[in-house]
Amino acid sequence: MSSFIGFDAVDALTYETKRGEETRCSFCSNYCVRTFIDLSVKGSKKRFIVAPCEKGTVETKEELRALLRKKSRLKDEFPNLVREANELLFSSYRPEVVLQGGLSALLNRKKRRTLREAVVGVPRVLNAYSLAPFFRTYFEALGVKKVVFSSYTSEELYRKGAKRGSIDPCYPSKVALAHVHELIYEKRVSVVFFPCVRTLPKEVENAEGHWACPTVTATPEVVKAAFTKERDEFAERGVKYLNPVLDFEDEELLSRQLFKAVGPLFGVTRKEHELALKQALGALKTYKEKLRRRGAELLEKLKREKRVGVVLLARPYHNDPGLNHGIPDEINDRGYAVLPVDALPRDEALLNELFKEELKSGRIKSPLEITDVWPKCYSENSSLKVWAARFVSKVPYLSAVELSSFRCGHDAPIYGLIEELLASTGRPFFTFHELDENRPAGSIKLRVETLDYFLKRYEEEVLR
Amino acid sequence: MKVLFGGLTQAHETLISAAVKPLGYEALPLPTPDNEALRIGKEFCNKGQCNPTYYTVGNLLKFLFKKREEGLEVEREFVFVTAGSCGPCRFGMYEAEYRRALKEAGFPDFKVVTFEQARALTDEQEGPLRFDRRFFLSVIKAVFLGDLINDLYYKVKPYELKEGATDLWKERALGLLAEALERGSSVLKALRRVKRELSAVRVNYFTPKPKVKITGEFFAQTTEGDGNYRLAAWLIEEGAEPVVEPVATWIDYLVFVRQLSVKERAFKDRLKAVKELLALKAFGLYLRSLYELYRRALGGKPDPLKSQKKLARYAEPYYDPRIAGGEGHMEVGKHVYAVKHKLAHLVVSVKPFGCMPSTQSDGVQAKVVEDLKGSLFVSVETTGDAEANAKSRVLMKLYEAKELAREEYERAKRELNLTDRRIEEASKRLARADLSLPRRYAATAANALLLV
Repeated sequence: MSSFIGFDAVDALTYETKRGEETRCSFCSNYCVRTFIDLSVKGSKKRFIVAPCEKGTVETKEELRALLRKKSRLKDEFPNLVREANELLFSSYRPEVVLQGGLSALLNRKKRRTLREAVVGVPRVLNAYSLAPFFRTYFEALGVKKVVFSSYTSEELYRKGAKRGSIDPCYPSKVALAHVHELIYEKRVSVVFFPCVRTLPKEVENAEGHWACPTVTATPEVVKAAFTKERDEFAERGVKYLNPVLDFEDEELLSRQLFKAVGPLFGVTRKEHELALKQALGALKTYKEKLRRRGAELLEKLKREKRVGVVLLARPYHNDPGLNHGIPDEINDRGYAVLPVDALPRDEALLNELFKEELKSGRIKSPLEITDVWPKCYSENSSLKVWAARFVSKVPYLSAVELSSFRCGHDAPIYGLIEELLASTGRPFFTFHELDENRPAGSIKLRVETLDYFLKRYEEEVLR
Repeated sequence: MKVLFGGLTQAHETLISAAVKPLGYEALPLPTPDNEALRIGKEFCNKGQCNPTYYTVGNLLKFLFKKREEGLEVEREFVFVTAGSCGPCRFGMYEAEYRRALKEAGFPDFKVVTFEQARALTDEQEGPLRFDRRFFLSVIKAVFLGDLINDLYYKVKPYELKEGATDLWKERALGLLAEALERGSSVLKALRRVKRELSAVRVNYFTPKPKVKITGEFFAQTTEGDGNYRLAAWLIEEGAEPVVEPVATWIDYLVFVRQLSVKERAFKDRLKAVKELLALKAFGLYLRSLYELYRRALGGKPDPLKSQKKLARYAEPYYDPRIAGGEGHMEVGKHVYAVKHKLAHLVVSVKPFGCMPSTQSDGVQAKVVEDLKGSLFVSVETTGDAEANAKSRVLMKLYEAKELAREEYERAKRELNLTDRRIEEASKRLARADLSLPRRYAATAANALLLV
């Protein structure tokens, strides 16, 4: 039903605009000046407040508290799983320490002391956003003193530590220099563990390969060169820089590669290594299961309440608030649940139901296969983006927001495909492409407002 | 149906066309990609691609548009063949980009046929066209011959006394070799004739010029067109001697990385790994021997193929050879090789805008330069525009390289106790272009002094 007040009322409408000290907001340290528009029609009055943020749209502390309560309730109901993923990614899975006594321990006591005293620093960049539980658990199981991660990316972190760069790759790779700088100069780690991850754990099935992006794989080598170019900054600070090539698609090979890098250095026996590795793989599995359980719960809720959720079609490192520029938070602030690709459930029954048509026609043999729409699926994170787009296209209460960094060579070839997949089913789809170190806060806000408008209409017209 | 292909140099493409003719293929090389091809590529491809995608896809479309205007039914008349890969860089995704752009440009039924480059060396691949061992060996032969002709051309052209003489020789040489490949007659005999023809070209090898090694991403370093601002030809105009990379190095690299991969996974089935390694080694040996045989037939003047083991050893402290994608560790390895083996005074690494592996390997080159005291290295990104910017960067380094070449020449003169008069007299006697020069110094002129 229309809320239009009628032409007679419009003719009688009067308004007054106020903007000055009396309209200044005091709910935060910015003290912004707002615009109050007081409308009056046939004795009834209404005030509209034009303010740069949501807090400014109310006048009293009670109103503010009510607003925040409402927002918090909404966030609890429809959370941002990107934040939850980050919490799960970087927390400890409390493994059992596997170091044993015996002759080997005696012979390697010096190396093992170094291991026990080691503070292992892992840059919170790139593949850490898919593999951190593995890295942390492995070293904790080996009994190191502590595993620390660098901070999330921020302008300050980048400014402080990225001066050594001599090339201009994508921002997610470029910023790695700053993270390693923080680890060695501020977090004072004794070991930097920054592996060249060549392949990722297999998720997409019947794929041509499971490669990590070549820019990502080679970044640890570029970082090493930058810190040892004129003088060896690692040696000066007594830091051991470990960047072995690792293949997560093949656990047997991974075990050998990791043991070769860590075993002899810290006097770890093969058995101890294998026990630590087992726990590390277990932690990675637990992380994914927990996150996907949350994803499944959320999907149920969205369906039940006829609400639309937003799937973030992005690479895992776009979980970094310094790289995603707060876009998931902005969307979540407006009451929409946000799900990263990793949070989409992999429950067999659900997937078989979603992809039944393709499975029945024989176009795919598994619901986690995408060869029918993207035969060149060898880049695992690209393949997962395509798969997630297809997932969204099957679920009416989901929409998609694609994030992509400037110069992303593996995103470029799938832009068109993702658009086609989503457009074919009329799912709401928005893009934030070519993200880099600059945070265009204003334009992000505007675009999220547009997104909000479309999603509201989608909920009203399609879901209800 | 004519088979379209491209992406290499004119020499390679002429010889490949001839080599596959006896196998029943009518192969037609596409023209060298230019900036018009880049523009068309940008119009029909996804945004954000690396520029070899735009150049090569645009080049095919440009050709098809032209043929359509001429009234040909291009979807019936032609099929396009290209190499493909299974990652990790986006080169493997070109195939999808070709198909997408062809559809967008109004050729939805145009056939693109790919063969997997890494498997091409050992496995037969069936498809709309048959890629069997005979096919690949014929192509490899043609590629090697093209490499050797290019090598000689760039060794001679900067020193020719009569402008254009080397170009005429190259044309004749390609004609002779193409004829031999087409007829199935002796390639060695043809090569010896090519060498004899080269002796007719007159040169002055006693002019000190800097040698400039061109490395970088495969397309950018290989193309002879706008894709690298016609770098090799421009370097000659600027008074330098370009050293181009043979495509054979890439083929050799594919065999080498396959060996690395087998070795890494050998623990799973040692017997199978040994068998595969032996087969790969035998194949590698065959390839290198073939290249060496042809090289010797040309009097040993072209450079021998670089040892892949050496390239990997040189690169390893900076860039792990197991990191795949693009040229992998080779860009770093070639830089170190060029300095250690006095192959060049200056190394120019060319990469297209948006090339992921090449940008990263450039990231370690600053340390390589620092460690190899005295190395002159410049990396340029080719975007299609910004030609003046890229060339001015090279020119700055080229100035230093010219100084180095001159100093080296003067030093050689002193070491060999030679006067200008003796050199001038010798230069008349030693003016045959086919002369094989010793390899003690980097500069051709300094090495020529060893013959005085």
